[in-house]
Amino acid sequence: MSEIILDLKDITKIYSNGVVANRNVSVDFRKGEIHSIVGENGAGKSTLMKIIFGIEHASSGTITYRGKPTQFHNSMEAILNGIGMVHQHFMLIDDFSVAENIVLGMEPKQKRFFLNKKEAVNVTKNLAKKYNFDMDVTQRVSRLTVSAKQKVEILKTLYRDAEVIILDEPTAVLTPQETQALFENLKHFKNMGHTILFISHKLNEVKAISDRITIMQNGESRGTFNNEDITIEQMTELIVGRKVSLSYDDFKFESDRDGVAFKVEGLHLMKKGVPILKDINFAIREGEILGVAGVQGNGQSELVQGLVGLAGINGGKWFINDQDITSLSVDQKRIHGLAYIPEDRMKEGIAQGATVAENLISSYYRRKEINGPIFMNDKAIGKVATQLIKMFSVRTKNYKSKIESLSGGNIQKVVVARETNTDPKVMIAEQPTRGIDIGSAEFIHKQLIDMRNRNVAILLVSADLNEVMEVSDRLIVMYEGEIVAHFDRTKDVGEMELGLYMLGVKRQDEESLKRASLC
Amino acid sequence: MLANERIFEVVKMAAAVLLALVLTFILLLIFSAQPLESFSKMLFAPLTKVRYMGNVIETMIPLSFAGLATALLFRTKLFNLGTEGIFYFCGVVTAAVATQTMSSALIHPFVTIMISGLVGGLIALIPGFFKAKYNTNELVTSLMMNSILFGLGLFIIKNFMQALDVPGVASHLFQATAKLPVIIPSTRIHFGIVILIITVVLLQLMLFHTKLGYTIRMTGLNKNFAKYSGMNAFWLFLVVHFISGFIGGVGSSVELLGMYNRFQWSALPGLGFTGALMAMLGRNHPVGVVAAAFAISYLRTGADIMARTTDVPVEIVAVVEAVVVLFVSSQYFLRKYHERALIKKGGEQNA
Repeated sequence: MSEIILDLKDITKIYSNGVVANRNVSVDFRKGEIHSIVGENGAGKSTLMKIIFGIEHASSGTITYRGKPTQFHNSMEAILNGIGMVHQHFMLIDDFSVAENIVLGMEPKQKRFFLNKKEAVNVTKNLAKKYNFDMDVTQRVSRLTVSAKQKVEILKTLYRDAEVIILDEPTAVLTPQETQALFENLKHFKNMGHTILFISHKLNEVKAISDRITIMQNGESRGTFNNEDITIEQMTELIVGRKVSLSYDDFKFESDRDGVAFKVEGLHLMKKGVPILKDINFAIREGEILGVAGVQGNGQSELVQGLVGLAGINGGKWFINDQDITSLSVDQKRIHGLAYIPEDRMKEGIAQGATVAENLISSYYRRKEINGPIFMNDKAIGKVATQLIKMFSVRTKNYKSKIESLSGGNIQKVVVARETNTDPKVMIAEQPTRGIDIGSAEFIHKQLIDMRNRNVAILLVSADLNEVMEVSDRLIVMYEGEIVAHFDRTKDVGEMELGLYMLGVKRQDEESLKRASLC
Repeated sequence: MLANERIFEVVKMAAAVLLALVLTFILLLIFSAQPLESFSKMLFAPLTKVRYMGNVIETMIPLSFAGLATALLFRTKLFNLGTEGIFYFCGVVTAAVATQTMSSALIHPFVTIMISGLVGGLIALIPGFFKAKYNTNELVTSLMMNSILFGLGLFIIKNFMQALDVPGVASHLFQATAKLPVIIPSTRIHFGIVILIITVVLLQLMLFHTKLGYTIRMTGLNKNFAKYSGMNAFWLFLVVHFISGFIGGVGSSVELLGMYNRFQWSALPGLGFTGALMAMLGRNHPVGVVAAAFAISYLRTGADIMARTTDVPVEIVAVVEAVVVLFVSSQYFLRKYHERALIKKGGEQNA
């Protein structure tokens, strides 16, 4: 057994808004191991990592690093002491070269003040070679793919002599192939004596790569296990506390699938001269779920924002039941039967500071049912809210509680409940289960399928491959603002094959793509 | 107990006031020969005479109106400080109407106040429109409007309404029919207090029980959420600005008709800016604003009495005010105890 490099004891973290992110978490990390932290977002993984990295400070508890009690005051201290972190959102300067990004802040100098570019290139080249990264360090970062940017981030930490490297959900933005490559690198680091803290909620990956696994739930540690001592099923059980079914086939009724409910024709979008969306065409039948797969940042969120009327679109038309809704206001679009579960629930989906009830009626507040001649009918609102809370089993004290006192999963349930309650004809669900616990995710999936069974047309956009594959009936893949593949039956598609389309390696012919529009 | 957000706010407010008073007392120890007497005068003198209490209420009325006008804007996350200019200009409007002859003492003040309110609302629409249509920074436009309205108001008074028998800026005398009657004998508390109460009740109902109020609150809490839900920010910004301007105009009119015999403001009265303070202390809540206005008025009256009867200058009260504002507006003041209470509560729930 190798030595312990980092030891956390009874870490508790309470944010100033009263949210308890970590409660008495104890875990140790050994030299030269890949140690995964699993749990849903909101389980406290990220907070724990931020505490290690000095961005957040523990409210109580002790951290022992290299045998000495430590509490880093900021990330700079952590970096100087050999801890590196690769964030989910990259912190790179697009207009700099790879080498410049890597040395930034610790540049090799000449004549004391000036950057020694040659030296910077040499150092980074050697570094890349040493760690088996194959890349041109003189390239500008803005030209790199997502996975290459991630490599730059990792090299940045290695350049700063990181002994412990924290990777926050590194595979969220990668295709299956890229994930494989990353894992090869990580194993190499391990053999060179680095300690890797791997944060994820993808259990397959965790199982494939880890030496030890710590499971977090609800801000607490549910234990640390050797990889060989625990199965994926056991992990799942520890994370949610019960067994979860992963197939929804039993819930899907065969629908009549007659009329086209939602149709999109020739959508275009340019931003700063760069095409973001290129000639998007698709249609969704009543009672059908169309999945949109793709690596994040390939035009999906621009597509959705455009369709619901929150951002501009340069050209194209879209229809609900043959009614052109292209240039209608958000409000009018909603009245015509559009509903939308936004990607970022805290930014768009709810109003923090308002009550659960107030958040449940926002797209509904002008309806006669909850209004008197002058005043809103508080009693009716309470009734609607209570009913929705019950139907969607939202865990809250009552409808007067502040929305931010709820967990992520329950907040998302509030969003879904509200959007369902307007009786939409078309539902656009964007990453509807991102970062919430498995139990709530499963519940929301069932709600979507339930809507489908009631003949609602659903557009499901997700970066989570499992989600689109399990829930949708048909599937399209987006790559660089284009639809590059269309599958009539999601069931017939393999994950690896999808990966090839998502990476832009493969592309279907025009004939097949036309079928996305159902004609 | 501290875990409850609302109770925590109240405790925090009380602690802030207490700290400010302690600090004041320390200052008095340094600057006053009779610190204890000065201190008790400031704290308790307003309670000793009906007339003094009357002074508190009189001062409170315009501060409340200005606070209510500003609070509505702040609620919508509009940082507009234009109430100051509206108070001034609507004072001129009030003078113009109040100096006209009108037969009935019932109709005259009503008409004056309504016209003043209407003008205030229309003026407020200017920064409102630019905000809604072009997303102009409302802080800049509203401050600019203050200067414009002051210049314009002064111009009108001097050229069309100046009373020649009085030195300095002064309009002709208001007609007796226009004045708001005093309603509590041996004080100067006038009918304006009733108008204030009506305004607060209406605002409270509007804000918490109508669709408009719901839209205002949701937009203020999260603009993206409001947009996503299909609320129309354009109209909302116009409506909110109008109502705020209307309240400002009414407040100005009520103050002049209740307390003055003629328009005599030769500079911006400062009520609008103090209104922003009331809005902040009152957490943009109608009742809270009036409570804040009462507290500040009480403090000012006490300080005034202290200045007249002891050796302490009236300016001391500015220190107290500043300290209260500092602590109340601080996000982190006493937070630690709030969090500790939350931890304990969380632990109990788990057990």
